Amino acid sequence: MKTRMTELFGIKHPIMLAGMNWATTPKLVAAVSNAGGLGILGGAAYTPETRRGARIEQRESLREAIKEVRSLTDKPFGINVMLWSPETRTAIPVLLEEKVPVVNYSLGRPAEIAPLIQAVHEYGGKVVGTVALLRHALRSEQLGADMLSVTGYEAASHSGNVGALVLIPQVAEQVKIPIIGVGGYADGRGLAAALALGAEGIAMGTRLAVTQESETHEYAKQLWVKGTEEDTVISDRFDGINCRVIKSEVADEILKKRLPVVGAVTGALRMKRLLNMSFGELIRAAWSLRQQEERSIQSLIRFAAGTDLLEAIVVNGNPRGLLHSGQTMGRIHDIPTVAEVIERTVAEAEEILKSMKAKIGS
Amino acid sequence: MFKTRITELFGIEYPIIAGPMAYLSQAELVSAVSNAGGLGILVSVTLPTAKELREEIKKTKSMTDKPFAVNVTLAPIIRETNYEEYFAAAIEEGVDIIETSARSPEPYMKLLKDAKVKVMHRATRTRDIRTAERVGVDAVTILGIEAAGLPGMEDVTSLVRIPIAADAVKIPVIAAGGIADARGFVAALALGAEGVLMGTRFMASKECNMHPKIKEWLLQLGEADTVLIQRSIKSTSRVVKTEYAQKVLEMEEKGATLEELLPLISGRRGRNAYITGDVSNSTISVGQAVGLIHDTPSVKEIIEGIISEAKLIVQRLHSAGIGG
Repeated sequence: MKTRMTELFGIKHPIMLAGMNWATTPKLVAAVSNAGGLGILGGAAYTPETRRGARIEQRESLREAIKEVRSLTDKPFGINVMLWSPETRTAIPVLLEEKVPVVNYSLGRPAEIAPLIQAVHEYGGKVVGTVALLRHALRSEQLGADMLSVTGYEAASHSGNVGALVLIPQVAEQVKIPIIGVGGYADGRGLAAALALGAEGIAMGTRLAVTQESETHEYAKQLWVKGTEEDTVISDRFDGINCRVIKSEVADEILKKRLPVVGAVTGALRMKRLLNMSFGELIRAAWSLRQQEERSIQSLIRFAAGTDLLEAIVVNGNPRGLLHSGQTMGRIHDIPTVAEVIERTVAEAEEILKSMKAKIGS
Repeated sequence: MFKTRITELFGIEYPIIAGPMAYLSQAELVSAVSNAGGLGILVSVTLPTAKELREEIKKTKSMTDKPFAVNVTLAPIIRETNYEEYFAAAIEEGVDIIETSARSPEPYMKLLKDAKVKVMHRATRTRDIRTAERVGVDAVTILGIEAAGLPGMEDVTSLVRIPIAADAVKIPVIAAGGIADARGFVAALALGAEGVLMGTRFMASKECNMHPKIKEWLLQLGEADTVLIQRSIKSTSRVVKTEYAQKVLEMEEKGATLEELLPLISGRRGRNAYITGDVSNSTISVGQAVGLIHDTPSVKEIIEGIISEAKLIVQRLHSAGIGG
């Protein structure tokens, strides 16, 4: 299926893997790229050069992960970097040195986005901006992004409040660069709908996390398979940003009690260690961040705690974790291979649009 | 011609339905939609008694000979309502399509089916449309959280709701919430719907009986300028994010009771706003689709525009080699 998205990246099908932190691994990323889509690895689960602490001894560094993807596929792939968190921003030098073909940023400010786009373009890479608001879409286009991944309210993890049916056409009519939809897509009906709404493709997260090649814990896969479209909840309490997760006891507790104390302390200490701060600097940073509306130190600490809870369930199958999910979970009932998901999605979309052509297009 | 099971069921030209809007979906707007080949739905909840409903039906019939429907909202609202009287009024005045909403129409299905009425039921949850099918309705409307009136407590969007609904029932599914133009129309059909129901789009039409100042104001609103209120009383409603709406939300957050909220969210305030053009003392219902609306054409232009642009969309994809 040819669209501006497939032409931009030189890929076969207009389907991107959403760069889910913890839920994407080199194996899944390569499987998506090998199946003709665009695999994106969530960068936040990796440290740039070293293995992360004692908690997960076996976790590789981001540089090793990039090398592993390259050993598994010769097709284009990308890395997602959440510019919001100072922790995840430490990945940027590695992405640039490794000349990753596609860099996908999310939750960034112009001062962070502009130099990143420039540096990626210098080595000939492409940049995808993930946005959830029209004004962020316009800004990303202005800053030079090559494509936008537009997140609807349906999506897992971080989104705004506007559903894809309204947001996609709204953005499509105001930006010139290609856009794709993310959030709510699990099959060919969704791909056909996205194309009708003015998108050039889709990104799938939850659907591709529930595949044979996905290395997410079996416990997590079963939660996604069993859950319905009504079993998710969205709040900024989970990791400091508006985030959609599966309803659970832990989610309930966080909604009622605010931040768990243990998580807050470990989150704060990790932030301090990562940024190489003294306690005095941490307090000063907290103060300066408090001046900025969106990124209070509390929400950054909450983010560190939230990402630990995500890791706990996705990697270790710990029921006391928090599992991110899109509402599209209600449409996911099987665990196929990545190639099956991509091929049946494209075939079904072709079929739908063909019958629509016969019905109304003449 | 544009055949789907919805056009065949209701004997209409295009599978485009105007959702019933409090105070606004009266004879002028309803007849204009039906005359343009769609299906208008008369609102009955804002008519004080069944007698006014009879008059409004007569007036609508004098303005169109095409099919139109009457909505009966089975919700416990401020006043006690004898629903049988409203159903009887519609049936006796010769209306043969009834839209029910808010509660299962089961208690009235025998009455409606004996009168050979076609019943469409609107709901937000998959289990509710399954129930509706089981009790014998002919079509269901599935409402996404993008919608204006009562989009439910579950927050699920149309993109997710529509295909699940299409798989859940055998009767035809109508999509509502977030649709205002040909793009949403084609998307809804691709997702498995056989028709669409739009409210906000028809608010901003020539035939909608509303102060022009409000229509102008709607055109300036973006997709993010709406907010959900009345969640605390389990009757979620999407309205324009005005200072007034924020005030209602603040009261809800402080734990206001139903009795305290009712005077602020009363439909009569909305009616006054529609008449005077002053939106500072009322909530104004709109869907997120308001962000897609940039003009106030006639109903006929809206419907014909959607059909002709839908063709262009399908042709555009076809000539790009998709669906060839």
